[in-house]
Amino acid sequence: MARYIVHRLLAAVPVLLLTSIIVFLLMRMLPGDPVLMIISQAQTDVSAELAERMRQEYGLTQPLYAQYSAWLWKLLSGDLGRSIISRQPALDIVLTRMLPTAQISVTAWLLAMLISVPIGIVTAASQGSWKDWLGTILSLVGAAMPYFLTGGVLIYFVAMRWHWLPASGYVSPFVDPVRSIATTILPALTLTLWLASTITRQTRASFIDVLQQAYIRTARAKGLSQTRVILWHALKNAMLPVVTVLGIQLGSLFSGAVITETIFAVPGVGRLMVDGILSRDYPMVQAVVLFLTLVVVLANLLVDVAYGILDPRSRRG
Amino acid sequence: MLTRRRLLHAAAAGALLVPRLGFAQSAPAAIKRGGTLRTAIFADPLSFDPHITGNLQGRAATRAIHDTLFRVDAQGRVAPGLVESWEQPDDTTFILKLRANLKFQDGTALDAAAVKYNIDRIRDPKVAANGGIRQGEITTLDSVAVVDARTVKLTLKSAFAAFLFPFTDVTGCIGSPAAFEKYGLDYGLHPSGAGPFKLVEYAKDSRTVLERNPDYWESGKPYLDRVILRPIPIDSTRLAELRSGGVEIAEALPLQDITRLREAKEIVVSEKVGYRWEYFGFNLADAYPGRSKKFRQAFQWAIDREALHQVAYFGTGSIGYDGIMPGSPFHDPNYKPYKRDMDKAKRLIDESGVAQPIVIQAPLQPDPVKQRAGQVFQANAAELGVKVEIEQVDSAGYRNTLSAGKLPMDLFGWWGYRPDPDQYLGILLQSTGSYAKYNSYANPKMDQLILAERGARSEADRRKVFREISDLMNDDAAYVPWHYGSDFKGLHPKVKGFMHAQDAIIAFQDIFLEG
Repeated sequence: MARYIVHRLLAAVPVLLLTSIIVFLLMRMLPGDPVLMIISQAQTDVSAELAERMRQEYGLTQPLYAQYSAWLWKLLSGDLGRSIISRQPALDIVLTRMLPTAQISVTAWLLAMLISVPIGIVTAASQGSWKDWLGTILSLVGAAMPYFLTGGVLIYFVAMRWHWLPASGYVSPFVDPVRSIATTILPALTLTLWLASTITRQTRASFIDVLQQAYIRTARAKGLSQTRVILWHALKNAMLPVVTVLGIQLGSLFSGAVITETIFAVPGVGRLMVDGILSRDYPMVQAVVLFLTLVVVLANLLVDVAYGILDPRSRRG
Repeated sequence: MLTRRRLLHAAAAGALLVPRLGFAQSAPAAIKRGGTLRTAIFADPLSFDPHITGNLQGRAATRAIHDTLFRVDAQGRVAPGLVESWEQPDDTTFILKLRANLKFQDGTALDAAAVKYNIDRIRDPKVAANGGIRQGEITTLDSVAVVDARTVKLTLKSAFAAFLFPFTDVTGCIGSPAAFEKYGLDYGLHPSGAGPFKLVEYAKDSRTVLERNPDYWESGKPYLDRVILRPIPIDSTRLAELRSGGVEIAEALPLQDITRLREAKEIVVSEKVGYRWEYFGFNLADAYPGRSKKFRQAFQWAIDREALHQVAYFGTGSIGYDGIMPGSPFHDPNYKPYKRDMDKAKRLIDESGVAQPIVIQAPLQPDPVKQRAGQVFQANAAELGVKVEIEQVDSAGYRNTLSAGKLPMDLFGWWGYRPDPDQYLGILLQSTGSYAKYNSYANPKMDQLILAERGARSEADRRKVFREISDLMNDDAAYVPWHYGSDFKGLHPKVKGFMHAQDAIIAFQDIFLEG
């Protein structure tokens, strides 16, 4: 297993490199550059000569291959460059932004699992009943609700009308654990609703499939109760595809974070990336994407390891 | 011959008694000290380096930390700030007298040498190349000299009536030379000014915490212990925070909600007209229909300003016919040279010589006000037989097209107020101005008028020239003006002492919390 993990980690290096090249090129293919964005905010007369001097200072006038190799060379010494817009080291910014995103995403992910796996099992076990219909309708509603609508509704009722939780912001758990939880709930719930519906449907489909297998029929023929059949015989096998989905969804949670962090004014990586793209802050976007790629690669590795534990046949290497 | 003109202004004592920045939002109440004011802002300040900071939020926080050499009074004129008094012995010389005993937050003295250091830094090519964008504001400056510890002499290359105005904003923020030397380009995270507040915490996109500077020069001020700035980009979330008591001030309220919000008991809506100037701009280059003056002039008569006022701005702000906004001493409320006349407009289009059918592209960045305005403009143009193709682009794409001089027409207008109309009209109308270049606009007569306004000796003379500038601008119709937009802020009723400034920047030192 250890060799397998090392192997997979090594395989992540070309993935990271390729992603960084793609992002590097995509950002530069977009019209505009960070200097123009600095000027547009300034409400002052900035001459074309000064703009060009700024581009030279930031290395934007060099050929693309030179810009990329300079970035890569610095990266090898742990330097991700400086944000062109705020002039702060990109690494420092990204590191402080990982915690809020991770906190919200993991909370959403755990909540989604707690909600959706039981619902998925119940709906699958009582296929065609009112419980199944209710579960299916709820998961369809969840999947159809865009984040900004869910977020807006939650803010309106929970924060504005009932004053139960703050409408926006983020507090680190190291500063104030209680307020940290309070600020995490609404953005996490926004993500949960969508995620839970996806996992519910996956769990239901997977369970229906497993419950039709011969060994389940045998278990029932032995006179085992429905609960025992599901928990002892069906659960482990039915969870295999669900684990895959959970792993993939952890990656897509970050794309959800882009929207929820903007709605709830959370200083996470999602918002950092959007702002970086809009202001063409190349070093910032490259740093964020590098980190997110690393997280997704690690999440998939975890899924594969979990898969190996659940299904010994898939162990390799 | 140069006459000796003394533009000596009120000294500190007088200045302290007069509310300076705009109009008081509420009746005077007994001043209460202490407390924390939380403000929801719509973007992160990014930097607190006065010579690098760009956006409105950065400028606001930087000014709270540093204060400015000059301020703008309720009539839109230059007033004392860190500079106690000044005189202008001739057209190209300003002698500034600083207040006594000014101290930076790092304990060093704010003296004439510090002022010279800051102005030299603005002009330093290394700082400029690192985003030091303020040098364009003081290109008329020839030299800075320290006369004595409290006196600075500024010598200009040519007469410039509005020269002092940039010093009412971040260009006039003075930072500690010791701190600049210590932190270099990282000064933006370790600012040390002589303003009412000092920076104690900054977490990008999360919060900026400012704390009362006990050594601030304005005696008794600031009243608040702390100011927390929270960047919240979404309008509805900012508003929810205000209504749920999460913040005491929210900036940039959504226009569509203003009527409803004015009736809400839990908040006070404050409006300041003359924050955004709206025009439809045309590119005069040969490739575009805007090359024809008559084509451009047609829109002066064809656009429905009332519909734009109601649809784009939900009836807020006011209809405008030039670039001199309410709040400026040069604004003329009776200047209304156009009213809708489609026959005249159609005639101008027929005489324009632009081959039919006329199609014009209008790249537009995401902004709800401009999108609504663009649709009204599109409908008005359609009545003239001109097809306007609005193309949604992001801000960087829009800037790229604009600065390449390839924007056929500009639906965006001028965002954000600068205190003296010269500050932006020069950029838009003078042939050396960046926007004039983007739009291929150059008129020697206009250049002469801009120079005349700058060299004019009295406000009355300048007003006369500004009228001529408005007339010529409207006749050339490179920019077809239609509106003066308002800035809206929402306040918790316990916020007192708030003055709604024309440039939308909050003077936190005047605010206190009641109850």
